[in-house]
Amino acid sequence: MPTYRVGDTMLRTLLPWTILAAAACGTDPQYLPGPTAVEVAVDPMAATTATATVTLPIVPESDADRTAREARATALGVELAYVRVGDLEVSIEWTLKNLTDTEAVAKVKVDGGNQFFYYYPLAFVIDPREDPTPPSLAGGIPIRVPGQGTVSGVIREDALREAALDLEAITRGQVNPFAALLNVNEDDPTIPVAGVDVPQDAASGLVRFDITLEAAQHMILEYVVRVRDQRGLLHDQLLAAPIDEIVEFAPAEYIPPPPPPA
Amino acid sequence: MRSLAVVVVLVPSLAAARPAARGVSAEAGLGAGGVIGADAAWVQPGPALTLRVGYDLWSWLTVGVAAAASTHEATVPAPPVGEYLQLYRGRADARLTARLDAVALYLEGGAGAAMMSSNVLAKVGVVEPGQRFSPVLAGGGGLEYQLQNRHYAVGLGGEYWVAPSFTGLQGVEVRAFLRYTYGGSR
Repeated sequence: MPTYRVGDTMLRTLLPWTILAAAACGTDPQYLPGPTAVEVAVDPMAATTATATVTLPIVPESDADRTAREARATALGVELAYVRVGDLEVSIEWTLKNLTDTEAVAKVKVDGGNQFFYYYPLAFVIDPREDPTPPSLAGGIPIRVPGQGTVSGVIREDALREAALDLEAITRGQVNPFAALLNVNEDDPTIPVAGVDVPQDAASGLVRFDITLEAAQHMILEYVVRVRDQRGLLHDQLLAAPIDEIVEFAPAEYIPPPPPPA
Repeated sequence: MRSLAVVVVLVPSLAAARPAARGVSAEAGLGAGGVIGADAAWVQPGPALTLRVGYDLWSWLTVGVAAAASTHEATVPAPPVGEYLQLYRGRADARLTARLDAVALYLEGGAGAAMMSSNVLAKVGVVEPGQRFSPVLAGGGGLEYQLQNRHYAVGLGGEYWVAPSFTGLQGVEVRAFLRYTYGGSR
């Protein structure tokens, strides 16, 4: 007569289900298709640069989240954003099509904003004859696209996380954009925000993405924003969410302070 | 007369050679699944894991609950490129079994719910914005082999499923499985 211990029986029964449940509870990505494709150089007189903007559909902040955020902000001594670095892991997948018969070079750049500021590189150019344009927050690598060819790529999660840290350093940290963008913050425990060194997960996260295509020949860029939502901030309906159920972020364009008087 | 006696002795001994336990069973399967029909172009075949817990009402009828998880490459028009999705299915089901000594054939069917891990198939209209769940109907059959140990059986199974709310997404799955049945013999 075999004998069974209840613990063994329960373990044998429940273990596979536990593994399956754990697999199902990971942070799955959601895809926000670009509302419009970005097209440049439609004809010889048309613009060779075009930008599309996507703002993430974020649900309003709960009272509990607000209380926790304000408590942490008080402890750190700096205002904290609702959406912070690490809350949303974002990447941008893109496909670029050359609509001409000859090979051409294109650039896909990503700038963007957090809830306080958005970054516009040309805002740092006071005198175009002297001031170089700062690089974008991410992307900007020249890409060769064969005639009638298609190239796909991705601005990865780590690049956009770095972009969020750089934006925070440039805007509320008032770090020179060249210095901020050249510095890799990956291993830095803190970044400067309003004169205070704050942990990376207290820095503001990107909620707005400005995706720019630069090409001298007729090309079209399609893209999708891939988001892994770590805090349940995305609206279930994504870009189809009713406007009154999401936060209307209105970041200000960051204007750098004037240089100190000579 | 002597040969008849041999048959009389052998038949019970053959049947007794592979007794199968009856009671609560746990079954785990590993195989492959894929989508068929109009949406097959968007979802590539991939590995699948299935788990089932059943209870033998009689030796020929088992009721149970089953769960399956499979992962697939989404081959929707770019972008995105090279993205994967996971499909989870859970159901309550019934299984009819016809046993002949160590070998048994079974047919099963059930209903439950399916969940898609992401909305990557929204691009081709399989899911609506915000939709992740669908009812699911499934049915299939297979062959199992009872091991010498009455608690263990191995087998091969196949299944067809359809998820009506995912615009009728449907697929098939084949698997090898191992079952452990608690309790005494049938």
